[in-house]
Amino acid sequence: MTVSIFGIRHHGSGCSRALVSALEDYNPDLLLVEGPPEGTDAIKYAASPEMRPPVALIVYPEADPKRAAIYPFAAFSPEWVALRYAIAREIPVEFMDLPVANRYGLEDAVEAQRAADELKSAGQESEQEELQDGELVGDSVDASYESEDDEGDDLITSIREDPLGTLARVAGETDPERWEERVIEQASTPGAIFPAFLDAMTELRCALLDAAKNEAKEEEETNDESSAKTEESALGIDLAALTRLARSVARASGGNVGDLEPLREAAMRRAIRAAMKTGAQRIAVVCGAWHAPALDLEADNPKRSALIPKKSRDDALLAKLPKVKTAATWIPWTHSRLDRRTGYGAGVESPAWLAEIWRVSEEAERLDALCNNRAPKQDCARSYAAATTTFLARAARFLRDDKMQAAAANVVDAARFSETLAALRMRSTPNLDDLRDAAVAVLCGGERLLYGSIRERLEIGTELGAIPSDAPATPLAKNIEAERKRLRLKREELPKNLDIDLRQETGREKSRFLRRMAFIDAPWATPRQDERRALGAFRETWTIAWKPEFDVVIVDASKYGATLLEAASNMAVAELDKKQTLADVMELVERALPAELNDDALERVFRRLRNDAAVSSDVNDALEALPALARALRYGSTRGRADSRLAAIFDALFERVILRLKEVCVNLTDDVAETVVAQLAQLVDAIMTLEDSERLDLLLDAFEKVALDDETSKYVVGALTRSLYDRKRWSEQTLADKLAFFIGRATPPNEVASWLQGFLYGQGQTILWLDELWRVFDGWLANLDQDVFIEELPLLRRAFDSFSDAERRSLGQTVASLYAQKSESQGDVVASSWDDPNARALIPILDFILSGKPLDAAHKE
Amino acid sequence: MTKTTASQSKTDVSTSVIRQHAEQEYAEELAAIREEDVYPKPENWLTSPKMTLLYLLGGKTPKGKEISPKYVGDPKLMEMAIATLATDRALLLYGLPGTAKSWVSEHLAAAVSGDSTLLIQGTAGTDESALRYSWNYAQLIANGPTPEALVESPTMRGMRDGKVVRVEELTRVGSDVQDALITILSEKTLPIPELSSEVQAQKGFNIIATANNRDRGVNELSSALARRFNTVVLPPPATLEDEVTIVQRRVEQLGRALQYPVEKPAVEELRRVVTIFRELRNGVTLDGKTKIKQPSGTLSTAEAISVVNNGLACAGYFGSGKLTATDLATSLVGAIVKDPGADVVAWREYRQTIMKNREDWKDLFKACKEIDE
Ligand SMILES: Nc1ncnc2c1ncn2[C@@H]1O[C@H](COP(=O)(O)OP(=O)(O)OP(=O)(O)O)[C@@H](O)[C@H]1O
Ligand SMILES: [Mg+2]
Repeated sequence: MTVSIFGIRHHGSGCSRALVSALEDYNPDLLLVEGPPEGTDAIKYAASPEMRPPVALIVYPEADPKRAAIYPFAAFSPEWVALRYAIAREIPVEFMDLPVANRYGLEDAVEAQRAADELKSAGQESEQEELQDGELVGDSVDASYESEDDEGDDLITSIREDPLGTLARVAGETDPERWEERVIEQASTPGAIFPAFLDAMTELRCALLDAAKNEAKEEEETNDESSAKTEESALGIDLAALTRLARSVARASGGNVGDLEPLREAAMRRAIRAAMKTGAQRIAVVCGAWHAPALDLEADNPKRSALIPKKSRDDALLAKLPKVKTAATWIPWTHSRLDRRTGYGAGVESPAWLAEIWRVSEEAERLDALCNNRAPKQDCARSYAAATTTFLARAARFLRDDKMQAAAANVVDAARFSETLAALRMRSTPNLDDLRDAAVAVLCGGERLLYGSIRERLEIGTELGAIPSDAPATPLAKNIEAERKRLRLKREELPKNLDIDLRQETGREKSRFLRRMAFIDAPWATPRQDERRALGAFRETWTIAWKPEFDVVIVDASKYGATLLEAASNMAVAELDKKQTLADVMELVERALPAELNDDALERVFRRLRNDAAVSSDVNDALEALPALARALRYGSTRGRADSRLAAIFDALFERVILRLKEVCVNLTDDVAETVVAQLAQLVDAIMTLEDSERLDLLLDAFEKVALDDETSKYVVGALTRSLYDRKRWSEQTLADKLAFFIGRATPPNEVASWLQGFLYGQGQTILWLDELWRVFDGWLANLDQDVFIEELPLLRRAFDSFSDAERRSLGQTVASLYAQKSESQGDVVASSWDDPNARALIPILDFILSGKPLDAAHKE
Repeated sequence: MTKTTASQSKTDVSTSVIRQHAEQEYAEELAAIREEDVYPKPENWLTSPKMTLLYLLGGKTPKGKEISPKYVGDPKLMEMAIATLATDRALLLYGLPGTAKSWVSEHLAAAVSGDSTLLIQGTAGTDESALRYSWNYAQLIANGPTPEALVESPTMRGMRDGKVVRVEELTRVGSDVQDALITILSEKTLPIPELSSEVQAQKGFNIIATANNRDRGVNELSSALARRFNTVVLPPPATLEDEVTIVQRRVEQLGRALQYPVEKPAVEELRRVVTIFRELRNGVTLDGKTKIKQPSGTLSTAEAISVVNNGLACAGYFGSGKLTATDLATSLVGAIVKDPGADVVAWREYRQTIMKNREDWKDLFKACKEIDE
């Protein structure tokens, strides 16, 4: 019986190719793969024709599915290749890692321990301190602890996550993917790389181990280095350099490879030992290259056996591990989530490219043939050369999509150029570097930034996987998937516009579906325009973009219900409990209504709204909630589903505002006044959309009363005056009279300025031509004391802040025309008085107020 | 062809010329490289692409002959430039002023064709005949259109001999004249209708054009022409160290040629000059902590080189024979202050807020201040 270890690089397409050859040669009768044992039962689905990677295996604690551990697989991932191979050959295949159940069990235990410790230590501190900054102390201690070891930890994590990347760096190549391609290209047979990886990894890990053990023996090390023979591994790596690197890392990190590491490897050895007892003759073990030396139970290499503890120790380590209850399932995944840049440690840089060179490889074809029980085909469209041309053609297409010039004829030039470049760089075929450079020089006019703008589409892609419909899934996931298919919504990552016509039944269903998805924390669609305006209309405009994490979210939401309606309704109720203010509750109502949540949920929401409305006697609250309520009412009425509960609450709040409007309008600073004015404007808008003229009258009555009240803040008076004019309650003449009256009583100038600000709130062309009003105002201005005038200038200018240049100009013309009219009607007398130097002196000042030029500049003119 | 043009007479190497062509100045390196060259060469290339790369980037030949680096920066860019010449696409070197476009173009031509003199200097006045051919009118009138009356352009010679032709500042050439290049590049022939003949390009012919970022929009290449070029953008030196190396190397070279009676400048001195250039160019101090007003000039590496060079001349002929802050200050200020308005403000601010506070910059600060006052 033999056991063969195949140490791979996660998601390394080159390793996948090598693995196919190696497995064919070795012809195993049992396969063990690094992965969570909870997933073993789900392996069989990998054989389904419906299964299309990228996919991810998720294993989650049943009590808290959000903590799911995610194991992504791409078509070009060696682990995936191993699974498919085993299925095709009908040999047993199992995941062999430490169960996720134990991992989370341990995590919980550690967390519980930490909490207990904290409690204890908190008890020892003086009470006062604990009250003041108990948490802060805890935080800062943590932080300093972390920063101490950070550098070493980072290093060792990066080595562990991508040990072959480390080899690549030692070999002088910055890019592990390119290195992998090259090494496999150069190996005598692709399968020959695995023994070489194993040796190199043994070297690396033994050196780490040594260094951690004998940290003190620095001297010996220097001796060592001088005598170190420059041995080269089969991979063309200087082993002494590797050893040196390992030592420096071990020194920086204290040899700490993480707590789980020994457990995981013990568990994997346990699985191998168990497999050896099954009677299998040729066992193949596929694991991350890092683990390979620690799993090679049959090693006769003394160095390697130093990494492998006795069975009894492994067993002791694994005995009595705490565990939680877990479940496993497949979910579709995406290439973009395999991107290393998204922070996925085992990620790769260019998933789309790796997928393509894997797809066109002979090994992929052999594996496909094996899986489909047919003979491998020769197909020249499936050649590496075809892949390079496709790459460049796609680059040109994406550039054209962005309206850049990229003639198809140039693709051929670019391909030829990439070959010349590869030859110059001593490669037989262009690799991704050469292709990128060719795309930059030939297609992007030398601009790397331009290439950067298409890189994501080109090298990462938007590939989204699919899983078989019979794979295990929660009832909720199945319900959502069925609905999604029925409504013909595609799971696409790239944001797309979706316009919905609510007059059609499917439109309404789509809208409802998407809104419910938002309630379970899977905001698939976001409104493209301000929804407040859209509500009530028959059109909804959304942007939809699927995220693979939604599948995890759905698993998590499953505990709230078996259907989307149920889960969304229950989650809305849960959310409701966290809401504080009336306005917050109202915001939820606005989302809940169009989502058509179930009666139970709506009833609870309304009850809460009613209670809050009754309990709070605050006018501000009411004012804040009313516009949203009005929109919700209108939403119901346009759909023939007016809700009497809502109308009752609206009436109550509306009445409160009408009766006690004055309360919110007195003693305000200008800033607060502005908020109030904004709310009042919204309220007017809302009532207008309800087309409820009775209520509008009531509201305007209230406005009139408050506007005439002396105590009302002048900013608000200005705004109410404007509103009354806009709604045709007051005529232009009334307006001018009120202003004249207001000014006539020797009102302090700053209040006049406030009034003006309120009056001008929210712009509007209509008031630009109110000749009478501007005449009154102008008269007031002209009579101001010079000092007072200068003092008030900033306020006056602020009033015109929101005016556009065009509006200012046209206001200027209005004022100018006032005098033009005068001079026409009154003849030369006024015309000559207009010539008065004093009058002329006023022009720059008006100009200053309206134009915003600096005053001294204006004076100089 | 009996016509001798200025460039042809230069084949006899005389060491007293102020500036030698690359193939003359580096004749020794090129000879060594060619002798050891075992790599495949495209037809009519004197040096293989692989060894041309060595010539540009510097290093050691297999037999150990030291080759000086010509270009300091990302090797990728030189690989792309050389590979371009080996395909049948033309090469456009593009970038900010003073980023070694002309320099690289000259060395490429020297290595590939052994001749960097097939040169067309692009200006607004460059006409089609500069790219194609013109006539010797005396002969034309006397004998009518004959081969003897034809004055060849560098392009025509490059095509006939299978050599690299250089076009400097391509974007300054008028668009209609640029169009003449399209035919040459796509047809690889130059028709001479007056003689009912044509010149067919031999293998090895290609064009290296340079164009300047700052000239953008002057006569932007038509898309038809742009499509025939591979563009390689040469960036300003990435790091302080790179730029100091470049300046040091060029200054030494020029010093050797010009033979100033002066000691080699200390690296520290160069580092200060380059630091000033980089900080003003990037609008931020090297440590990234302080924002700086940027003057209007490009403040290219080439200008840094000439500042140091002028300084050396000053020191040699009027000074102590050793480069001091005073020798540098005049040309430094001259290089930075191009526009007497805004540049003065930017420069003063830099001097007072940045230079003044650097402990070991006191001498330079004082020298600069004296000039400004
Ligand atoms: N990266 C570099 N490596 C080597 N030398 C450099 C580098 N950058 C600049 N130089 C030097 O700068 C000087 C100026 O270069 P050159 O005249 O070729 O600039 P250019 O890009 O053609 O500028 P312009 O656009 O103004 O024509 C040359 O002497 C060259 O040696
Ligand atoms: Mg130039």
